[in-house]
Amino acid sequence: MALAQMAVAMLPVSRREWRAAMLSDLEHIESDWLALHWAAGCVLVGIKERFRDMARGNLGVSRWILVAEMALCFIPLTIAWLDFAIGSWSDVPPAFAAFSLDTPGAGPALAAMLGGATIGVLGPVGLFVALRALFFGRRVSPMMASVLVVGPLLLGVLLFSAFATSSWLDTARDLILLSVLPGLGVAHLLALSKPSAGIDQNARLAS
Amino acid sequence: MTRERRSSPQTLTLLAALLDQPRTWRHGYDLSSETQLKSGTLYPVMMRLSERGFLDSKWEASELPGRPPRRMYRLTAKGLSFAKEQLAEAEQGVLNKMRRARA
Repeated sequence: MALAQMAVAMLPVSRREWRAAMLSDLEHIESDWLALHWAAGCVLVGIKERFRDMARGNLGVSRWILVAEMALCFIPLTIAWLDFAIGSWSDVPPAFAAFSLDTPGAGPALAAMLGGATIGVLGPVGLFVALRALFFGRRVSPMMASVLVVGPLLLGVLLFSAFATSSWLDTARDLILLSVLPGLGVAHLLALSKPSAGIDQNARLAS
Repeated sequence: MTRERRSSPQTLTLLAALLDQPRTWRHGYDLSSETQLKSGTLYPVMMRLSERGFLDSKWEASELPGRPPRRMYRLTAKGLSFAKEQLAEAEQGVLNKMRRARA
């Protein structure tokens, strides 16, 4: 009984009636062994429903916290893009004097610079898409989501191959800031934009 | 109009059990015993069906003294037609698979 009570305590408040129903069924089971099985199932229901509720984005997270989260996810890539596109190019003339493609490692570094300037544009684009989704409820299309996930990952690979000789700490930091965070931001946005209860229940029934 | 997705085998099993006695109110443990679905599977399926208006429920005093009231379930009219439609579709799916396997 204690197990079942713990399980039903995990159920969201909106499932209050179901809590009572499960406990009531448990009270009618004569065999201890079957009751234990039933209670274990109730634990599973509690966990499933709690996770489902969380995935639906019903945590009551403030929109401003989500804006801060999206900024954290996309601003590093935006800054990197600015650096690749403006910062590095402004240094090109003096750098070019001493920098030739024959220099060891110059080719990959240049490729990473150009790639960064191209792919890094996904930083401001991602930020725009995220804010539009948060403030105007616009859904993130699968195509845009894929681009926002794959682009930064490509950039990560590019950076990794170009600057593999730099310290692993710097490489890991760059990979997290420029490749992992945008992906996580997009994943959270997609989770938040899932249809709420009652709209697409059939899809869940099928799962 | 959105196309209805196929229900899971567990949902179909429950729908079949409910459709078998459409006018009878049945409690969760009874349905679990008949369908062999464990409580961890049965209740989430019933929750989704109820959310979609396919399952009707009511509380009924227990026949056993000193026990709490039980929640009873049966299909709504909408649930009945949904169950029939889903089971027919599933049956058709099985027949198509068999035909393909034979060909």
